[in-house]
Amino acid sequence: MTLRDAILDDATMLVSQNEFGELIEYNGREIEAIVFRESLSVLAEDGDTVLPSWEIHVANSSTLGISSTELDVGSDVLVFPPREGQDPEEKTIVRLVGHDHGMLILECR
Amino acid sequence: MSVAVDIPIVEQIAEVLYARLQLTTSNYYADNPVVEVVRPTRHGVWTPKHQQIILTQDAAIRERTLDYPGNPPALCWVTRFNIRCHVMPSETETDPYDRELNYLLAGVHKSVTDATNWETFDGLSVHAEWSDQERVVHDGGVSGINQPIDITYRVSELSDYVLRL
Repeated sequence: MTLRDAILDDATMLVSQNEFGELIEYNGREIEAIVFRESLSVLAEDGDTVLPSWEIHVANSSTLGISSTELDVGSDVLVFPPREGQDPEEKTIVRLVGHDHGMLILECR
Repeated sequence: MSVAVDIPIVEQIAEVLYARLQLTTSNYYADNPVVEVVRPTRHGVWTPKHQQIILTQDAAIRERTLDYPGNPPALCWVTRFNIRCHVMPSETETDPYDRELNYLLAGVHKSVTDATNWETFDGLSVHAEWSDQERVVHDGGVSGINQPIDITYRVSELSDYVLRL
């Protein structure tokens, strides 16, 4: 196994439901992801509107998560409970915060 | 002349503006209808979308030169409504970004002004005028343009529910 393979394996394990992850929906398929639920914050671009934000960590994979090549920021949405225990809602992916071979970090609003 | 109603005058104006903006969600203009017009809640239960309008308002400013004397006097206010046009095209979109903004703004202007004496907002305001547009400086997140409109109206000093013309 190469180091690149190991990095992806580690990322996949980290976002697993058995570890820190949960099941969410992307483009009609279920993927495992870590959802960092943030508090309300001002939407800086709009100045006077308040909008919660979520940081989502997923494996960089077209089967286990979302691949960096298929991601379409601005157009893609994720479906997940905005707060633990709530019904899932659709949230737009507004920013690719960072990514490497193993993982994508996304911001949803 | 005074007119008493059970909705504050500024809220009635907001409702008229909101209703006019709703026209952009149909094929009212061009071929790029707006997906939704949102007046945000305090907790922001909406999600940014391409071709979306967010309607908010600033704190009102007094316009003392247009007050009316009397007992009670009529106070004149100017409220700025921010019409925030979100344009967040797909990464695969080939149309120029500015073209999408131009079409969206044209639709906003048309929908708001396409009424007889549009600036009176169904007889509720004294005057209305577009203000300078503000480009949203984005860093990869929500992007678009804000088109403010300043609406001037007059109410009784004793009640925001009483319109004074």
